[in-house]
Amino acid sequence: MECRDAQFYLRFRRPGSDELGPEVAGDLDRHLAGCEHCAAEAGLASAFDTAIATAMKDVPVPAALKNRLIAHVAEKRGAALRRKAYTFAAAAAVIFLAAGLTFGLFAGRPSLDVSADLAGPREEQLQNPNGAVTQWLAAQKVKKLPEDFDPALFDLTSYAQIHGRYVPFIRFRERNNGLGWAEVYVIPRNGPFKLADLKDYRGSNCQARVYDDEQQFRAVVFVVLHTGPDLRPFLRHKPMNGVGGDA
Amino acid sequence: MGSAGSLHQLIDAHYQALYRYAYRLSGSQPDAEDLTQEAFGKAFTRLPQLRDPDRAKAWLFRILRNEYLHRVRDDRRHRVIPLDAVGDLPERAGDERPDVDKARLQQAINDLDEGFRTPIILYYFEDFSYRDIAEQMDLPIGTVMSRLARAKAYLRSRLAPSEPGANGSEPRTAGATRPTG
Repeated sequence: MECRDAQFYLRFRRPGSDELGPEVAGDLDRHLAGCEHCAAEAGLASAFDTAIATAMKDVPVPAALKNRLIAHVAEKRGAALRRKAYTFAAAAAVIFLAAGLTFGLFAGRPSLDVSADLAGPREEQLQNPNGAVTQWLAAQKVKKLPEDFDPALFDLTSYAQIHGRYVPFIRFRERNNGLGWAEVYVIPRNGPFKLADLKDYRGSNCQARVYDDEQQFRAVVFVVLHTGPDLRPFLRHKPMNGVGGDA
Repeated sequence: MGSAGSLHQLIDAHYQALYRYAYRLSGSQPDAEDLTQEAFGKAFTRLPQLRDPDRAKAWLFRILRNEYLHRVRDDRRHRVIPLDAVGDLPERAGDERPDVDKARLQQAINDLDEGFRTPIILYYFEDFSYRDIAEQMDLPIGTVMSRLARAKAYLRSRLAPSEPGANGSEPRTAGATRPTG
């Protein structure tokens, strides 16, 4: 290798990398071993690169940046989940409306045996929340709730009267005495139902999730309305890494 | 990949390098913060597209650069120095190790056209190979290496202590002319 070629390759050489290829790198090393001038140039170039690299990366990172990034991503995730929930809800609403008036739920107030559904006075329910949840599920003829709600957070069962129609629901309060709530509504499958009516009834400060799994839930569709971005404050507390127990 | 938890891991691992890259590209802390935030925001929506977690850093850098280019596309006020007139061979530096002033470095980088600025920045973020840089910029490796050689020569002429031009004036190039406008 001649000095001219060595000078050419020195421009592209990076310490610790083999991007020139073993053959060229070997020829260059042999040339530098025998040429003081090119070896000196190589030393200067390397020193310059080191100085620039150090300065290039010497940029102080704002202390609050990481939290800002996490908050930004969390906001985008919340927006995405809300869009997803409304998409499911809209699809379910279309299904229900298309099914028509199978059960005549728009034909007037239905005759419901309310006494059989309520588990008894609320005080008794709160003294035995597990029992209250089980009894309510039995009354709705469903085996389980769509999510693993914590029975210890049970609040009440009741009916929502929405445009002349009675819709049963069970409410859970937020963990640690928070002000939030989650309500699970049970809607018969193939019956007319408009999610917009339910949201109007409850107000706009809540999220909506529709559980429409015929295999799991058979004759009903669950709609969960809740405050906050997700349902974690209302679910059974799962221990991390299998250590510990329920809160 | 595809969860918020995965993205948090990406933030942990790469936010500092991404911010530093954004700062060198834009030359401004507020712009760098905004660019970094927008890059991770876009990464959240495109996370399913990242098939190889080992390529996450390069992927994030590419997102950020595209965001930067989108922002400066119409910025015609930024004066740049064309490197076509800079000689290919580096000027011989003095015997002293250059004492690189960070402000002068950033000014020198700011004066570069983005087509030369990006590769020189990525070059000095050591993890990026010539191939990585070429992929980032959708350019052949040969073009990247040529631009790097010129950009390095330009930086040495601006920053080396024994070189004319090291005090911030124009790089010494035979027949070079400054762009107008």
